[in-house]
Amino acid sequence: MPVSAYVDTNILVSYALGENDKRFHAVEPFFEDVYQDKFVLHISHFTLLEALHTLRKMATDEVYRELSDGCSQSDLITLVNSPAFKNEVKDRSFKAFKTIIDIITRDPDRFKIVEPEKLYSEKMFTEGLGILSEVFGEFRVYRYRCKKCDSYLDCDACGFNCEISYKAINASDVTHVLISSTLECKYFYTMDQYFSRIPREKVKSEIVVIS
Amino acid sequence: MYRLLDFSTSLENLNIEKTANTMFAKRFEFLRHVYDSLIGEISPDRTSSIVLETSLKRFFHKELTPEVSNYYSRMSLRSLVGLPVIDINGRDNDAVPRLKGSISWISKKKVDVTEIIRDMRDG
Repeated sequence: MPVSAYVDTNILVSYALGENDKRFHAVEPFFEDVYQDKFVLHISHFTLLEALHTLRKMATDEVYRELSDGCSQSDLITLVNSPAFKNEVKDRSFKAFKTIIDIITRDPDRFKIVEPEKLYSEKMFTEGLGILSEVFGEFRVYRYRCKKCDSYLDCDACGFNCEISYKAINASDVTHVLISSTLECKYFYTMDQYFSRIPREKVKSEIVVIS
Repeated sequence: MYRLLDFSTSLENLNIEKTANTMFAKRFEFLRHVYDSLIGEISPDRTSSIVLETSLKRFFHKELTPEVSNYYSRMSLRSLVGLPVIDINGRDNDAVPRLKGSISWISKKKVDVTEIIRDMRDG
């Protein structure tokens, strides 16, 4: 009998990206188990809407990287305001999204789509607030990088070349976990290490961080 | 003297779940015909999907059986993104391997999607 598992957006998109995702090899064995009927995956619409947004971000970055070097700000503003640019990003990302939907809806034994009429109570978010109040994240320092070529950058005005960033689980993360619990999934699978800080006793689903 | 009739055997023979699924399949065939006609002859855009989605909501008692409920969820989702309907009994047992790398073309560069989503959630 397969065990129910809720998957975080990063798991689903990573596997669909395959070799082009840095953590694909970590997630691959999990999907081997799904294929061997050890798990049945529960896919929420919340996961899917996040997946669509992720694909739009990725498509934007990809189209941006494809541009020839040396574009000025005014060149880029003209470009992003053109229907051609918008359509390119929209079409690429939606094609990818439809590909995922098409595949997962054809195998109801391994992918369970959560009912569109499923209701979640305010109590769920109250529980979420309780979790978030208890968990405090960490600060990280990041170097500024060029989004196009990944080179490190310095600010000409203040001389800084890095920034402080607060990293922790937040509303979206907690919502995923609580949906998983509401659906009575035995496991919640993610690749995001911050989830491991959620106190075990606070959620019904067992959180598994693939790394 | 009155004697109470025992319907238990008759009910067992009826096999409610099988009957429900058959009824559903018949209704769905009709809806699919309407949908195909709309796609082919009247409206090639989202309208056909919306009609299908509305019909699914109105005419099917999705709580009838788990299979119907599951099918309803899948068809609603497919309709939402403009994908054609598929058969209730259809099963693609190779969906998992087909999903692997299915959208790798979206990025030529190797990315870390977990970090992308983390940044997105952090705003």
